Amino acid sequence: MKRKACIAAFTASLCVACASSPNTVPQGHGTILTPQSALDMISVGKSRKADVSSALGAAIVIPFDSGYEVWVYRWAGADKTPRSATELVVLFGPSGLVAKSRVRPGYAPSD
Amino acid sequence: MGRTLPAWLGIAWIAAGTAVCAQVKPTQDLPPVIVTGTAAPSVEKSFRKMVQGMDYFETMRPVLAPDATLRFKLLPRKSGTDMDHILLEVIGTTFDYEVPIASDHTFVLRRDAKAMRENAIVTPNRRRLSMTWRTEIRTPGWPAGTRRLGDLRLECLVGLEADLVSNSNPFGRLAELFTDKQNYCNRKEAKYLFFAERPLFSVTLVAGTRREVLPIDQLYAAASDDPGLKSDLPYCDCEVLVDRTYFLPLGDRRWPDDTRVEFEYMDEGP
Repeated sequence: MKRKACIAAFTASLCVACASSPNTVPQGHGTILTPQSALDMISVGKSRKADVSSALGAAIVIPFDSGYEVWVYRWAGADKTPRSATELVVLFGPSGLVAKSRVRPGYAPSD
Repeated sequence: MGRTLPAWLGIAWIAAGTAVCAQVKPTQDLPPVIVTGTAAPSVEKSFRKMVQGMDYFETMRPVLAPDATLRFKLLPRKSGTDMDHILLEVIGTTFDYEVPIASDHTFVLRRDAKAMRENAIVTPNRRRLSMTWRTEIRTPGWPAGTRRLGDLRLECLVGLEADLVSNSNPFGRLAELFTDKQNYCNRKEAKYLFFAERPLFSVTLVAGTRREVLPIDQLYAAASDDPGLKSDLPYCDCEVLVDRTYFLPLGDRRWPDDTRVEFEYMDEGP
């Protein structure tokens, strides 16, 4: 019984982990966007969360108590590590407008 | 066989689940483990341990940060904590005295044989779990908005040696696994939480012509890869400083001690 419960709990935890890993590669009209083209779709001081979500799809969202919110889109790199991934990072201010955005390039393992 | 088949099916199911997850999320999933030698929830610190940290600073300074000075720093752990008007005291069994705190919430500790003998405590007049502590090791002359990597390497070493990190279970329990503090700070993927002056947007390492922006999982206590972070925060001394936290590749010796760590803050212009 204990074994069954253990397996069930472990399985459940795996499913939670899977569910919490959204596909965050931006897609516009069904095609995968490049980091630069995704960045170009965002206007600092103008774009709202709904605009970005509509243009790029679901992001990893990191909210803060200050009202700021960071959204992250990722393109996996060659070795699938965070270091090799290219990232588009969007900062929303407490007003809900984009305050900043940047593209972080992925780095090769040998760099 | 009747008993083992379900077990094997379970194992196969788990293995399959693991494989699927590995494809979807191949990155490391370590929680933001914050290292400490104790799980004590109290806000006070051991005078002896802090002096031990000061001794270790003197030992390692010639290697990592020859021109640096050491101060200790108080940081808020709960929202609403009044960080001004703090009364910081060294209290032994037969004496007590106040330690002056600078406006940036840093202070120095005077060596004191009596306090060592009496196993004194260093304590602010704040309730438990309301604050945390770090070292502040700085080489003079570095521009605002930057830090020197060697200074930060030494902050990790001295901070652990002085037992400054104030986490409670389950972070404390996990942290007790890391008994070899010096080797922990030399890990390439060391998860020692640093706090910037203000909320961060980006952290970049610069050494000569080499320049590298840290991935987002090195910021915000790895919140990007940990959907459960919110529920863990009460156990972490980063609780109200998440937007200021960052990790560094402390053990990656391809980055020399003179590497410049550059910060871009949320509240700076685009």
